[in-house]
Parts: sequence; C-alpha cells; structure tokens
Amino acid sequence: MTTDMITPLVGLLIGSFILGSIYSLIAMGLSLLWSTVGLANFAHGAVLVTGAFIAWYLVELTGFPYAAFLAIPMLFVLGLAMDTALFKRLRYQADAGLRLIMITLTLAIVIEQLLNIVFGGVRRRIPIMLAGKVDLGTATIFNQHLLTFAIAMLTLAVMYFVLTRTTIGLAMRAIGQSMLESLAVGLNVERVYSVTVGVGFMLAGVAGMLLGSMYVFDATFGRAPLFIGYIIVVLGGLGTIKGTIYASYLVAAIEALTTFFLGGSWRIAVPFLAMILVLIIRPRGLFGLKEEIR
Amino acid sequence: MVNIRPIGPILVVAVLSIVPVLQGRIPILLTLLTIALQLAIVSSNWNLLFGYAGVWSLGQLGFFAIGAYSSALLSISGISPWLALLAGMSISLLTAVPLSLIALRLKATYFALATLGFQEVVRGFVVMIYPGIVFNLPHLQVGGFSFGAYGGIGYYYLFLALFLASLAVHGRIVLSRLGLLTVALRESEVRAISLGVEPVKVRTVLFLVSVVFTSATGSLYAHYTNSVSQSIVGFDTLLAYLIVMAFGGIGTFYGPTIASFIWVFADFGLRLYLTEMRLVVMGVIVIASLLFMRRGLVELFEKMATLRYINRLVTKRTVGS
Repeated sequence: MTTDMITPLVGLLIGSFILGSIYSLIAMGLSLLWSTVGLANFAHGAVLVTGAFIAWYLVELTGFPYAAFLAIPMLFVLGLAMDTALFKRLRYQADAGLRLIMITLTLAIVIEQLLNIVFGGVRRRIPIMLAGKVDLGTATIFNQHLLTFAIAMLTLAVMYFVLTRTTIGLAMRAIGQSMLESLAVGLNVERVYSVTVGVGFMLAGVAGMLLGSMYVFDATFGRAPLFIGYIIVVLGGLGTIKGTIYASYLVAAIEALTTFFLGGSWRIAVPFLAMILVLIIRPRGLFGLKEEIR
Repeated sequence: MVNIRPIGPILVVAVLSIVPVLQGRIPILLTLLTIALQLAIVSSNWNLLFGYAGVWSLGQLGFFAIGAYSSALLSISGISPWLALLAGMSISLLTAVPLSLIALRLKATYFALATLGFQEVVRGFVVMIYPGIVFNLPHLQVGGFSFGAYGGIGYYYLFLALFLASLAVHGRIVLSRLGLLTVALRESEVRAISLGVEPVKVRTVLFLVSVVFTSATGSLYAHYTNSVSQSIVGFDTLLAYLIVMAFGGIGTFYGPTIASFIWVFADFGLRLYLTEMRLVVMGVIVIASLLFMRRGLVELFEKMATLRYINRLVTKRTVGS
C-alpha cells in the first residue's frame, strides 16, 4: 500500500464507523422482529426508505431541519398499523413462516412503488442539520456526520437500556426465548408483539432518516441496507445485542474496504460471501449463542 | 395415497394443442399463452420447492437469469443456440450444487435469505459482465425451420413440451421413494432424520430438478423475446411469480399452473388501465391471497360450492392432506 492510498483509506474507515452505527440500528430492528415476533422482515429496507422520505417531506414542508425527527414516531405508528392489518392475522399459525416471508417481500415491492408514485422518481436528500467540518489533518469530518454518529449512538444506548433494564424490553427478549413460558407467567404477549413491530419499524425509520441525510436516495435505496442488515444479523448471531453491534462495524468495514479495493458493485457480494463462510464454520454466527442456524 | 388425476391435464393439453389454429384470428392469444406456459413452468418448479419440499428458495430467478444470459451471450458470439442452452443449464447446475450443499443445511428462513442474496449476487454479476440489454439474439432453429416463424408457434410448442416434461418429472417425483422421503421431512423433520433420512441429500435433488427446468426456461425465454436485460431478475418480475403462487395456492399441484393462465390474461387487461398502480394492485392480490386463501385457488373453488365438480376435475391437492 502506498502512502497516497492511506489518506482516503482513513476517511473511508471513519466513514465506515459512522455507517456501522447506522447499520447496527437496522440490524437490531431486524433481529428484534425476527427473534421476538418470528417475522423475517424483507420489507425492512422499504420501511427505511419510507422513513427517509417522510423525514425529507417534513423538512421540505416546514423548512425546519429538525422536523425530520417527527418521522420517528410516525414510523412507530406505521409499525403498529402493519401489525394489526397484516402480521396479526398469521400469528400462532403453524405454517405462517413462508407466507410471512412472501407477504413482507411483496410489501417491500408495493411500498417502493407507492413511494415512487407519491414522491416521484426523483432522487432526494434530506437537508443537513449542521454545517461545517472538522479538520483532522489526514481526514476531514463533516459536523453533520458527527451529529449522525451521535444520534445513532444515542438510539443504540436507549435501545440497549430498554432491552436490558425495562419491563417491556425484558418482555421482548423473554418472548423471543419462549413464547409459551412468557404467556404462562402472565405477559401480555399480543401487546408486546405489536410494540416490538412498532419499535422495529421505528429503528428502521431512524436509520432511514440518518442515511437519507448522508446519501441521495430513491425508492429502491433500501435494498442494499436490507441485505447488509441481514448479513449482520446472521454474522452477529440472532438475538444477541452485543454481537449485532460488533458485527455491524465489522460488516461496515468489510464493505468500505471492498468498495475501496474492488469497486462498488462488489459491496454486497463480498459481505454476503463472508456470511456464507461464517455459516459453514460457525452456524450460530460469530458472536451468537442462542439459536443454531442449521 | 397420492392421487393426481390425469383427466385435467389431458383436457388442458388437448385444448392447448389446438389453440395455435386460432392464431390467424387472434394473434395476441399465442403470445399470451406462450408467456403463460413460461410462467407455469417456472412457478410450478418453484412451488415444488415452496409447497412440496418445504424449501423456501427465493433465488429461482437467479437461475432463470443464468440460463437466459448464458444463452444470450454465447449465442450472439456465434455458438449454436442449442449448445448455449445446454451450457446455461450446466452453469446453473454447477452454481446450484455448491449453493444447495451449503445453504440447505440452514434453517428455512436463513435459506430464504441466502437464496435471495444469491439472486442479488447474480444480478450484480450479470450487470457487471454485460451492462444494458443484450439485443438481437438468433432464433432457435431445427433444420431450416426457425422457431420464430408464424408468430412464434415453434416456441409455443417448445414451451408446451418443456411444461409437460416438467409436469411428468414432478408427477414421478411425487410418486417415488424420493417424494415420500420429502414429505416425511416436511411433516416431521426430526422424526424423519432419526429414521435415517438425509435432509440435505433429498432436498438437493429436488432443488436441482427445479433449477434445471428454471434455467432451461430462462434460455428459451431469451431466444423467444430476442433480448435479455436485468429486469428478469428484478423485484417486479418476482412479484408476478409471487402472485401466481399465492393465488394459485402454495403446495397445490396444478394451482400455480392454472393461476399462470388466469394471471396472463388478467395482466393483459390490467396493463390497459393501470400503469403505476399495477404493481400495487398485484401486491394487494398477493397479500390478500396469502391472508385469506391459504390454499389459493383450491380454497376458492371449495368455497364456491357450485364449482365443486370443476374442482374435482382439474385440481387435487397433492400430498399430506
């Protein structure tokens, strides 16, 4: 490696650290939906873009950059609505798995198309909240990216607190471990399911809002984060909070290095092959303990 | 015992063989039926995995694309289209063997994920080796006869032959030892394994069967339309297959096939009135079918008591119920 490659590489690695924080929000949402509700949400990417579009629209409407945050509670409500309208109907059915996959996959396509119709096929970008940048000598960081990083870390911290210290969070994890025993100790399983779907959608919304201010996006923007998110969930091990976070940074770094050395068209393929490799060698994921994948 | 009534298919085949005679009067009919047959082959092979084997593959269009692109790229570089077809099938098989041996060890949802990822990788790959649309594919030929002549009658019969071959193979599988092992695995995996059934082996065979037919259909389709683009692996195309399987009924033997023919005509009408909303309407049909018609058309037929005798004639749930 020559010296003139190092400078962009440092920038890239800083970028991947910020990106990794956002990925962990996506992966945590996916993992929560999967392990607690039993929902492999293939519409997560589309939900993410929905969050980005709503945030963009709110800023555009009010002219106030912080209005973007309003998208987060709206996504929570969207999650509750989806759960009531669709997912609830298939609950407790023995053969619901495949149909849920088909439904969320369809939902992804439908949501993308609806976004295209409503917002037009134009590529958008959420206006930044903070201007300016910090010079570090080898690399510069935009203040907006620092804010993005801070928001992602804050959300992660709140989620970690909720999942490990609060009743609803413990209930989510308990149901993930055993639905029947949770029912037996008197948890309101139905309510926890709904809230979990809401929280999962909300996390996707936060990630969408953050990614939407870093990149231009259109309706199909969520597909890559969907795959990346699932690769992280599998690598980190289903249902482990720390494993998911570690794997997020790992995958973001792999993606950044792949883009740097091989080019952007390989950025999904290489993490994907890494996932397949890990599945062969360690079927519970790199950090996972809970559930065997095979 | 398994019972696939042959009356239905024989009737249908008889009708389908006569149809091209109408070609002079209604030219669009042949095109629609050809597309319906193509949908039917791919979706019935998909359904073999989804409903029958309990293998949730979402990567079928990846193999369709491998077949289509192999045929397209090899035949425009001057290789005989028939050899290109075989090459496409071989490449698909060479990809499918390692994929199935690795991924079929995974639990069903992870397998769905891995195969959907595989499809994205295939898409990225074809875009990389040939960005844009491959045009001007040569038509398949036998002797001096081009399959594209007379509005593509040749292709129609080629797809029909492939469809019947696929149907025959599926019928054989359902009745064979392999079929029984598959059902045993689907109904109670733990018990089947404890009795000595090897899940990866059994499912790999079924997976490869569906891959061969899907890839061959892809190759034929490429020649039929004269062009190939990455839209054949797109999410939009995927939705057409989801509709056919959800509406036709996952795990019903003839459901997806019948739904393919219904859908092609419905879609023809839909395209006249809808542009942007078409995908949304399709999505609503898929979701509604999955929520309210668990066994698809079979259930619809059952609910319509007056149509019960047609149900007895054409559809029959396969195994396990």
